[in-house]
Amino acid sequence: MKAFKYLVLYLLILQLMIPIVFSLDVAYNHRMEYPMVKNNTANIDVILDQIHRRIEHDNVRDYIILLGDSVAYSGPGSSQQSIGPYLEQYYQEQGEVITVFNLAMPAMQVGDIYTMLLKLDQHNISTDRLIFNVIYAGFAERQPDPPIVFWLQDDLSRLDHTAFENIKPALEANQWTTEKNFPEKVNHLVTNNLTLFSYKDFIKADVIHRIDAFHGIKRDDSLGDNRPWYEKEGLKEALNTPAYQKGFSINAFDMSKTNPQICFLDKIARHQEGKKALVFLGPVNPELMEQVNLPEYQDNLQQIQHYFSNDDWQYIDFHGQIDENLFTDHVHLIAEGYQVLARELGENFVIGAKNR
Amino acid sequence: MMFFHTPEFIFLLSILLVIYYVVPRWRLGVLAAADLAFYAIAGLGPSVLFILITICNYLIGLQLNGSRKKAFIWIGIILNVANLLFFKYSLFFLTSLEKVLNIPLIPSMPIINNLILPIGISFYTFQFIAYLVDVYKEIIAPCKNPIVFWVFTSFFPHVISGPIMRGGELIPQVEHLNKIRLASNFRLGLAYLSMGLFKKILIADYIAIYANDFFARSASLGTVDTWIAAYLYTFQLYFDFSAYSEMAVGIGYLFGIKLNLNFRTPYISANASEFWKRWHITLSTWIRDYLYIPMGGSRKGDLRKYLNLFLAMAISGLWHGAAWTFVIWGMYHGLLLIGHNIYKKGKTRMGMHWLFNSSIYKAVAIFVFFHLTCIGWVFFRSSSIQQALHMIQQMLRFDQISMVPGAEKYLLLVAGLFLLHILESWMISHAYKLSESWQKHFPAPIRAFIYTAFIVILILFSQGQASDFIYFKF
Repeated sequence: MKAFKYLVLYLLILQLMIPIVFSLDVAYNHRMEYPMVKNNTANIDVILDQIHRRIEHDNVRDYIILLGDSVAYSGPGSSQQSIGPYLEQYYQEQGEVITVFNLAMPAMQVGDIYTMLLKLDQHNISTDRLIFNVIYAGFAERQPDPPIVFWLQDDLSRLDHTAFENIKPALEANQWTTEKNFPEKVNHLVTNNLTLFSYKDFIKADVIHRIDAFHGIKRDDSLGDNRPWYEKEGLKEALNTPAYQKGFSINAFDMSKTNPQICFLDKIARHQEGKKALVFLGPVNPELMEQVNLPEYQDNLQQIQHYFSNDDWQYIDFHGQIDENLFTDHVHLIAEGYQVLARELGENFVIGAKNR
Repeated sequence: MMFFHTPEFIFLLSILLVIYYVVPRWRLGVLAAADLAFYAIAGLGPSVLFILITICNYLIGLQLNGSRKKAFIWIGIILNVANLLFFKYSLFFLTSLEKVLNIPLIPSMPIINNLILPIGISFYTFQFIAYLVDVYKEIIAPCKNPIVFWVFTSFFPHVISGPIMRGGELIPQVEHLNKIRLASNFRLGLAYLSMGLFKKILIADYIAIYANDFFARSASLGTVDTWIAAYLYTFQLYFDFSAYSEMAVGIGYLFGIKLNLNFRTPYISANASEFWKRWHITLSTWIRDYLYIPMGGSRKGDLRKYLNLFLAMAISGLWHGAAWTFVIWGMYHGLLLIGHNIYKKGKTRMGMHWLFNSSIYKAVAIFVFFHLTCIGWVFFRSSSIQQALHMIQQMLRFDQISMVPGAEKYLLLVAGLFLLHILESWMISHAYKLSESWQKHFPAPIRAFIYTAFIVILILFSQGQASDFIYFKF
């Protein structure tokens, strides 16, 4: 019985100490560690907890939240070559110390971005300064994939159940099981509240990092081949398949509220009322997606531009703004490309003392 | 389905234990409700079936004291066997019949194709039959209290995959739940539960990754690789099933209820007879008591004894799964038992006790029998007879033995697992002394520290998706 009392005491100490002992760097290095979040989206909450802790601890006053998909995530290059550090560098050159928290994730949809905003509220992280990206494909008709909420269905169900109920049929059409059974709910309750469970991946990653450091191994967190597109054999042919082409359909966009993209963008607009927000439409490589020059495609771009002109946010369309040679494929950029993109964002998203 | 090694199960178990010990007079009701809830998670259909079959067995049990007891025992046995045959074997029998007659039968019976195997049906069927036979033979009195009977049949630690309990062992314990004290056996329960968690999370689930990979590539494996596949599965199965059984026994002890142990380090058996006294003990004793002995056992001469052994083991194989690979596995063990019986006779005639009692002989016998067991498990694991035969053919190509790159690490792993098995055997035989020294020489804060480290390791090494237990599909 005596040992049991000590056991309870030790477990309590662990419960309290783990969030303090493990630092954000284990799972976040200029952006979230993709493998860690991909395998368990609950790790996002731990990362947000740690970001909040860092904001409080370091008294970070000026920070930007960056959301979006693989473009904002800056794939397939490494975290050092991502938008976050380039944007911070730009502000530094302007004499500003601005921290960028890049919480984008590859494949994140507008529904995920909205859910992330709700999660940020829940974790007391300000969204007063927000940059997020949308892509052309996001406005195109979903057939039925990709689902409008790709990663964070459970979180949306918890944080905005009405919105979740509205998209439930679309999620089910994408073979996503919407209802959790009783054991899954209990599992969620336990693993999200006991730090030994919620920090499990952090602890493991930390051990691996330490072992790597001990052996002098430097990790490369690139997601793939980061060479320029013209050096990649067979890329053009691969992109010419229906799987890629459907996202660049030239059919006229439905910009009404029946398009889930518009529905969630409206929600984001409402959430960001009175706050500073910049939306950018990801660039497309015209050498690989030739339809970008077609009038129908351009009409669709105009439609998007028109939509964003209605709300109180800044909008940048990166179509034609990035040199073709800076692409690594049809939509992603090489390091220099992201540097150009970050600079452009910085120039448009002015955060001086006057703008605070 | 809720597995014992998941956080949700441990959490709900803790709540249940608190209620169970805080309000002793509610114990029977609490357990009955918990059993119902535990099984209901598996699905509404299987639960309704289980409740109905439990009610039938309860009512039949009450009739086994009367003048028409013979009729009722047959009704009971037929009902249970028919239930099992229908849900578990309909598709298997029809498919086999289709092949023999070359007539398509299944398309005309879509219901058979859509049957879902009710979880635990093989285990509860044997438990019901044992209960009815024991009441019929007046070994035990029929259980009059329906709630007690329900808890006896559905006690959640053992309802899915055993251990198969007899009425005489479990019903009296359930009837006296209010006499159970918290301290009694709680520590033992935690020890068994921890041992099971250790085996499942840290061993079985990790071996499974390699074993599955080897079996998936079985067609292209050489002699050494195929042996590695068989070795790995041999240990995966043991650690997986014994983990489940020990967790079940441990959870039973936490509620003050003693469930029977199913394993006694079986891979240190020197022959088939010893193996079946160490492997899935509650099943092998059931087969002995309710199948082999009623068939005549060894009472009707050697030939009949061998036939009975062969039939009993073939049925045991079929009980495991509706596939010919399981039947062949059972028959193979039947032949091993017959072989051992004949060999034993020869040994007696030969004398030479000094040799047969020596440690070297014992070690060689264990080594040989372990490899015979591994060959058997190839049938058990393979998805088809062809796959099993191909693998065994590869294993027996001794002329082609050559070390493939990377094989050494797997052989080392297998050797390590065998040593662990021996260590387990030693620990069980010295459990009392070990426990005493543990309590005596390590102060409470140190013990608690080691328990904490153990919990941390279990959590860190548990794999994301909760893996089920191999025996759950039987």
